[in-house]
Amino acid sequence: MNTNSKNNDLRSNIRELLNSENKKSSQDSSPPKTVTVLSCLLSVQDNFHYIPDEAIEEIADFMDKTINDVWGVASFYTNFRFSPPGSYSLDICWGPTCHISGAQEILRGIHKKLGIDSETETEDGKISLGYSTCLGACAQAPVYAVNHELIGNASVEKIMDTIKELK
Amino acid sequence: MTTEEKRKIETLTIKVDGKLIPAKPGQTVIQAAQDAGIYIPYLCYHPGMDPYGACRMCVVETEVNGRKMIQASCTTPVSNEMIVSSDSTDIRDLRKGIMDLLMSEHPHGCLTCHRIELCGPQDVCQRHVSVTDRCTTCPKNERCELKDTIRDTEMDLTTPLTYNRRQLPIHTDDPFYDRDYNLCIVCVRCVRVCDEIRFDNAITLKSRSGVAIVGTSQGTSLLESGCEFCGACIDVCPTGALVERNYKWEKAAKKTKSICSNCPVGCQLIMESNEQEKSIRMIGDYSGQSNAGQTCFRGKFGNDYVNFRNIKDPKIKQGTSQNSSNWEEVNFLISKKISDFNPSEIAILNSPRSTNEDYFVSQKFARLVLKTNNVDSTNKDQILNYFSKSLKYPGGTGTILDLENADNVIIISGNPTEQQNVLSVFAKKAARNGSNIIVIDPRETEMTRYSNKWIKNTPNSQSNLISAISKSVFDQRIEDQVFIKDHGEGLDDFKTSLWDFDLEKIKSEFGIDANLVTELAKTISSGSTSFILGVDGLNDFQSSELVKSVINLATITGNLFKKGSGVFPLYKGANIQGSLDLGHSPNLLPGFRNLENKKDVDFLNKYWDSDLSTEKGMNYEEIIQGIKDKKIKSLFVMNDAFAEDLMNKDVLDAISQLEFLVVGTSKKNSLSDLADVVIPISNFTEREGTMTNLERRVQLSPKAHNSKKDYKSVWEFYSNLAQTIGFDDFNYESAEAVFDEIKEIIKEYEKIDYKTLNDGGEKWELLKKKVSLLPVKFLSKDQLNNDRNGLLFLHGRVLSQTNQEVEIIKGNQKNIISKENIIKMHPNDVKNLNLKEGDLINIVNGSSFSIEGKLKLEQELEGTIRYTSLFGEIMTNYSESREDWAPTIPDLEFKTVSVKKINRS
Repeated sequence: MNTNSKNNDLRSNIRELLNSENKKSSQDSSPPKTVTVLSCLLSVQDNFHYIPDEAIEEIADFMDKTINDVWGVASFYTNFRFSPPGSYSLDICWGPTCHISGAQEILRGIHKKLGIDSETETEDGKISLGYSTCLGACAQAPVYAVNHELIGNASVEKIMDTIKELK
Repeated sequence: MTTEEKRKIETLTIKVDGKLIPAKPGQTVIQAAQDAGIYIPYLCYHPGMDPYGACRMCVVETEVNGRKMIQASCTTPVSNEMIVSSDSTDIRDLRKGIMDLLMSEHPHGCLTCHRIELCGPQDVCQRHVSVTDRCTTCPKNERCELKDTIRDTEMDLTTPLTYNRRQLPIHTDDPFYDRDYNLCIVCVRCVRVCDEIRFDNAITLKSRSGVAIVGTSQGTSLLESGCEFCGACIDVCPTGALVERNYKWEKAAKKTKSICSNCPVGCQLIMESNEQEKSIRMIGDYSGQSNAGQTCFRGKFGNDYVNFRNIKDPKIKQGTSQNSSNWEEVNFLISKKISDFNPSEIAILNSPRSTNEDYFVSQKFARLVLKTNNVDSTNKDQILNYFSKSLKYPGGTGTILDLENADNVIIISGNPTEQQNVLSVFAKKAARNGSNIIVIDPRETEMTRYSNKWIKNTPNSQSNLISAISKSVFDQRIEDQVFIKDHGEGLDDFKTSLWDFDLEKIKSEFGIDANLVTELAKTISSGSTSFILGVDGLNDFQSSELVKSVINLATITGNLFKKGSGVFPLYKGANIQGSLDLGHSPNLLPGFRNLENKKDVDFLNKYWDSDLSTEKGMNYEEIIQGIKDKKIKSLFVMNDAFAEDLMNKDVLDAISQLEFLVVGTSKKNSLSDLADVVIPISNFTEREGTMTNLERRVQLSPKAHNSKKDYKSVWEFYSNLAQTIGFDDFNYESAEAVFDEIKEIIKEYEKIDYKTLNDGGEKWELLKKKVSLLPVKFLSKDQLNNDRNGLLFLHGRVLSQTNQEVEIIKGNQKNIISKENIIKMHPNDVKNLNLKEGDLINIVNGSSFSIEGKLKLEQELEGTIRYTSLFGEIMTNYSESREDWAPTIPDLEFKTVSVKKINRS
């Protein structure tokens, strides 16, 4: 029952958002924005930072499509995420230079320490792990970034220390 | 441009592999080649769907004006004097390369093995292919399109034995069919057929590039993704990824063109049978004239019952047990027994699944041998009888495949997506083509999703709205005067009766806006309009008023007897049309002759050399009542799929009191248990016979299986019995001989050629295209709810509910829907009940019916309670069933109910 009412709240928030987007686009004096499945998905991601399951259904309802139509679009774009992001982002570079400097080894270590095995969130929702193909600081390779703040000369221990300092 | 030049352009000539072939402009290369009998391999292309160009197997080299190109022939339109080469070494090499990539994710050890032609289906392979990769472990073995295509490309064992198994989960938890996407080659045919032909979009292509795969949104169950379980995706799948679960690994030994007997659409199906003569699969036949290759959950999955027949011998009741007997004894006993009864004490019933021949001989037996007119089908749908008042015939007009050409489709008081599924496919197609779909029904049904106008009328007031539209048509002077002059009769009286339908009155009493009525009148008369007409929930008077008003409206707007228009009746029994055509009805004689018309009776008396009784017969409901009142003492009931209300306890109790009961069926049921004589009737695979569908198309369903025992068709049984009694006139050699007599008696059937009826069938034509414009009556509010006090429960059912929380739970390894019901009421109705939004309430009607749910208030349809359930909720029940479940799908009921609040901590 409890999860249900939480879901219903989320649903009504999404519904409100979709309605307001629709209104905005029809009131603007500049050429009206076309409301599409994609534009709905984008506004949900902008506001909630991810696409909840309920959003797929609500967008389907709003756009008069089936959930499968919406999912077909949503799953096509890798920039959409379907789980809430962690409180902090941790990006580990695995570009060519970092690769040579042992990025794979670091990734394996971090996976083990955080208890995850892919680009995802830790169980406590604190950290979102991401892989980056180049953070643009090859001279300091291997590099990583916490909340988009770049840190060089990475090692598993150094990364774990940085994480521990985060609240 | 001269016409001569134009004609030349209408057929182009192209050269394929050195052969000159004709082609039509707009055709693609592969279509032109196929028409000329040239095979170009393909996987994603499928006739009937738009070109897609995903698999690239159909690559050819084209040359136009000296410019050479390598193109996919399924997406390349023909141009004049195009030179196509589909078989050169270069092209073959290209295809091999493409196939190589395609197979890297499909088990292909057997497909590329050099022994493939030598290997039998059951051979044990020692060294070439690992066990799990073999074709023999694939359910589509021997009917795999991929295998055929690979054979054509002459692939050899050049790729390694191993392939990249994607380790995708196998879905076996949903009803009816299994999905193993490890075998999928992503040709996207299933997604396209679901979108382009069925308009359901229950599956989609997920993700992209190398990991793209077919599936449902977030991998959810088909039960909530909007699947209608029509099986169209299975029929088009070229691999073993999608297969029917029952008889999954069975091989077809025989294919028969059969006609589905589960609903009045009469889809043409290809029935596959195995060597033991079991019906193993039903596949929609693309040459079918009423279904164009489509079928539905009933036709695709609802015919397995024929394999589990359990009435195998004639049986006679002795004491309390039924003992096996033989035909001689049975015929002797019945012929002796029936002389004990007066003609008015005997009745004959046949189920709606009977053939035309069954009906004809049954009614002839009743009238000539038993001298009674108590003969009817076990069916409560009276809609066709109402049609006969206006149209001279008990039958609709219009052609199912023509529905897609309609500018407007109006669906009234019916639920065609569930009851007459394939009819709705073409209505949905019209919707996709941009036609107006107007639904007049207070219940939420699947067609409301496709509608651009959903008129939630006050229940049972449909006929008022329709007649108001008629009035508006005359007021705006947009009636089709020429059509009325040619086909209408009694215009003046009809026009006078319309004075009652004042738009202001309609608005104040039923809340229907006058502008809406005017708009609808304009829409209907501006283009071709098809009416799909049901009478769900209406009583006799309301139904006859509704049918009358719809036919009137169709006539005055000129929407009958021409392209894109017509009135389609919605009823449930498969061959009700045939039963009325053949006079299997108490007061209707064969060929639409009336029992009260002396000329009609004399004609038949002369033809049969008989003396027909003109005493009025009893219809189905009167017969049931007669059994309860002990007026009927002996009853004959034949064929499978009896109406459910015949199986009600009080009816069965009354039937058990009968002096003599004969039941003919293929499956034991509670009715056959009571019978004094049980007759083993052949089911549709074991007999030959014709059926007439709701567009009046007569189709032949041939005998597919040789029965091991001596089962008989209903007509065979009655003709043998009549001959035992001493009536020589019943000596028919075959179903065709019965049909010959039908043709002689029924003028409308005269031109039908029995021999061609298995190829799409033939429609019998209305010889009299005249319509009586019958005066209509305004139904006041009292007349609407005359037999209803309290709140009216309106049950809706849809394929998916996106705005509601739906949970899928596992029960017994199978997916089951679990959701909180939402029950909608009007705020005025809850005032006295002390209820507020969000309360848990219980809806009850007696002890048989109860639904719990959360209350939601909505400002519409005062006096009703609305509830919409999911189609998936009922489908789980039928998946594993061996019973004859197709005719028993529950209707969307209208019930008077009471409301209770549930207090729960």
